[in-house]
Amino acid sequence: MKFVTQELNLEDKVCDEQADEEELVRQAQQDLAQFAVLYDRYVQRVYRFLLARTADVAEAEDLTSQTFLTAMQKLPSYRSNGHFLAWLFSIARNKQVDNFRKYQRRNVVELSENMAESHQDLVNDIIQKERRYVLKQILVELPERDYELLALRLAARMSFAEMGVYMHKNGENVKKAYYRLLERLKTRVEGSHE
Amino acid sequence: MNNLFPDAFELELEKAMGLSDASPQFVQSLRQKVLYPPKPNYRRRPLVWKAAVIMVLILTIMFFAVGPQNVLAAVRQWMGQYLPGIGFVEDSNVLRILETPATVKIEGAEVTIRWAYTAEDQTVIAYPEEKDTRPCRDWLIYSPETHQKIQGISLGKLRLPDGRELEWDFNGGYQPIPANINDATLIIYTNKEVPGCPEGVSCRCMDEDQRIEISLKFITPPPGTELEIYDMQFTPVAPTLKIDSEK
Repeated sequence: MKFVTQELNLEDKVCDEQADEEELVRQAQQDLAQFAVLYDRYVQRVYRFLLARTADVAEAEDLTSQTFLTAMQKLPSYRSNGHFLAWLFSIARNKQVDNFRKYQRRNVVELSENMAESHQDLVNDIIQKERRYVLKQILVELPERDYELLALRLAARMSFAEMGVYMHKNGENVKKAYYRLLERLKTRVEGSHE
Repeated sequence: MNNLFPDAFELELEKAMGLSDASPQFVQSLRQKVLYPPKPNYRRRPLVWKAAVIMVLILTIMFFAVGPQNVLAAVRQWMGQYLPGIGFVEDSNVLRILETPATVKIEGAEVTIRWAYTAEDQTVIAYPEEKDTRPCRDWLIYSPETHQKIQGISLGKLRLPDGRELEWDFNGGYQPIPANINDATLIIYTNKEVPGCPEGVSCRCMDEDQRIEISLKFITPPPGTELEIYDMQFTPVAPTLKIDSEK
């Protein structure tokens, strides 16, 4: 019961954030210095999303810079419709797609174990290492549409409602698709260890 | 599992995806770049604009102070002049003609220049029509000894307002008059009849008063002017060398 109450409170918080987000956007449109709040709120999420898409820290940083600079430039023309987050991530996604077309670089996570070590996730347990390796392999082979779900949810930390707006789909349907994907991934990982 | 808290498998996926937050240095650096972009140097631009505006004002004032006609004339002088059917031509190519026939009358003599023109290559002046009924008091027979003296008094000159004198060059005319000069003074010597000149020789009257100055004013031919320009092929005549008799 306590868990449910906490969940509801957090959902309320999300709703409050979305409500005041539009006000922040309006303020930022009038005074670009007010963009600082929006920047602080979303910079890590945008970066993580782009890191998930590029698997390259430098590229993710570069694309994050481009995303926010473009957002600043286009902010005066942004039409406030309650979907600022979706608008921002659309910019990020377009930047990443443009970059991918330009350099034709692989935009999935690398299989190298060094990457895990570089992110301070050194697991001593051999089984866990093997399991992660398998998981990475599965991620590499994952269809684009499924990987996008993971990137939005895990990297960008979007709620299902936000994912729905971004993907132009119903939030509930996105939620179902996401959990079905998780189940499939779990099954594949478990199956590989049996 | 709820909307906001990832479960263990999701955390596992996050790690497998190699996700991490951006470094604080990067976040701060980008924050500066996004929120405080370098301001364009607006100070220089207004200076350039101010200078340009001042220049335009000065030129406008000068245009009206000097006068539109004078400015137009100056521009024409720079760029040339437009002749229908030909286009723009340089001023040095522009033909100028005598405004009106020039006549000088003195007691006992009258000299008229009917036409003249100055062009790119030369200035051509019609032979003077003269009527000098005055008697000749002092004359010389053409000879090698008298050649220099006779030539010195016979050959006319074209004097410009600035004092320069254009010589008759035996090619049928004088040097061209500079484009910015429209006035000149022709200095000629009349051909008085030499009463006592022996038969069969050429004589030249050497009286001082036969020197006559005629003012010439050149203009650009008005549109529609029909010009009659004569090609003056002039063959200089060598001085006669007969020394049969002397004065």
